[in-house]
Amino acid sequence: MNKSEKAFSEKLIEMEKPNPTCKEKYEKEVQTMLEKKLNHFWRAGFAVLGMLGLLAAIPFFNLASSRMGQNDLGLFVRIVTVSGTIFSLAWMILMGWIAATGKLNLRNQLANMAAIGIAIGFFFMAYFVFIFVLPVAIIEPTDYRSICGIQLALIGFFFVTTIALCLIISALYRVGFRTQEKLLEIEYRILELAEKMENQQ
Amino acid sequence: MVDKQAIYYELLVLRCCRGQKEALEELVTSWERRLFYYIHRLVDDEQDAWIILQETWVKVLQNIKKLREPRKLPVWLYSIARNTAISHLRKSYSEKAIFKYDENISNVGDCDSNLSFDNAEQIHYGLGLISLQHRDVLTLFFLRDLSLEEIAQILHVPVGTVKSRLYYAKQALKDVLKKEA
Repeated sequence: MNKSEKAFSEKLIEMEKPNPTCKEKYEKEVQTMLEKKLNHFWRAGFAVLGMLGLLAAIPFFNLASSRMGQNDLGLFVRIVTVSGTIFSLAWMILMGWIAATGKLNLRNQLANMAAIGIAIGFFFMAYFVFIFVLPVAIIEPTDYRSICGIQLALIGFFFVTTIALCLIISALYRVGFRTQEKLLEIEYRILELAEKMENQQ
Repeated sequence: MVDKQAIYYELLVLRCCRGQKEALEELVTSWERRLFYYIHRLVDDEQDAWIILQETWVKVLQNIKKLREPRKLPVWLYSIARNTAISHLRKSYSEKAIFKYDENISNVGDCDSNLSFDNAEQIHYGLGLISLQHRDVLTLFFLRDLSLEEIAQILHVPVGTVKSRLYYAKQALKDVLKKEA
């Protein structure tokens, strides 16, 4: 479409004088459609999920801030519990933000929710291993409880790692999309510049 | 040569598929006036036209991920708008009754040579006086977003038929404008 044709179609469209009341109603509807706000039921659900994050943060924080004396498992436990606390609080903040604003962008926030959820799952597994499995296994290595505990922990880690891998693959897919977007942006800007230079000449 | 407009459409569709609210808003803002103009030519009642436009956006947002060729965004948008308007009109009439075309002449060649339409105000006025079938094809033509091939895709007819429809529609528009003058 050349410039004169565009100007003509713009003139034609400007001839249309819409009723302001109808237009305002339409704009409100479209805005609502684009924002997709959650209803009270869903918001309450997300508030509950946020509370669960807080509940998860408490044991992590207790352990992270406590001194364990002779049974102190050292740096690994500290890393696991501090990370667990941080991810649980991040979960709480994300859920709280969704509950408070009622805005949920499934495409973007779902990935964040899944990533934080997996991280919490991983640190819970590590917490379980350090607090319940390892102490028993060290004292009674042949006891059936320690064998079962280690098996459970291994299965848990297997599931968490599998889900994390799926998440990484989906993240890579998203990165691919973003790269494609950036390339198109660059291509578009180059063409814009070329057009400007042509006009200047 | 790479088409700048095509790249823009591809970029916009990609962003919309990623769920970027800004991109969706940009899509709506950049197309709503044009689509409304077209829909309002098909549907007389303004309130109905706004409702149809809203329904059009619902369909667009639901199906934008399925758009295989982002470069055909204008064709896709006008097709959805037209189909939504037809569904609305179908409640009272059958499609054949809505768009009665005389298909006896399939190709009459380029009819621009002896007809000149450059006064937007006159054309806007004239479009309101001609029949719906003429208005449909002429509005798509005068909005200048689509080539004849693309108009043919929207109307599901061969390009030759579009040319013949345009010829008769322009004649009809010319006649009503002469009478009014």
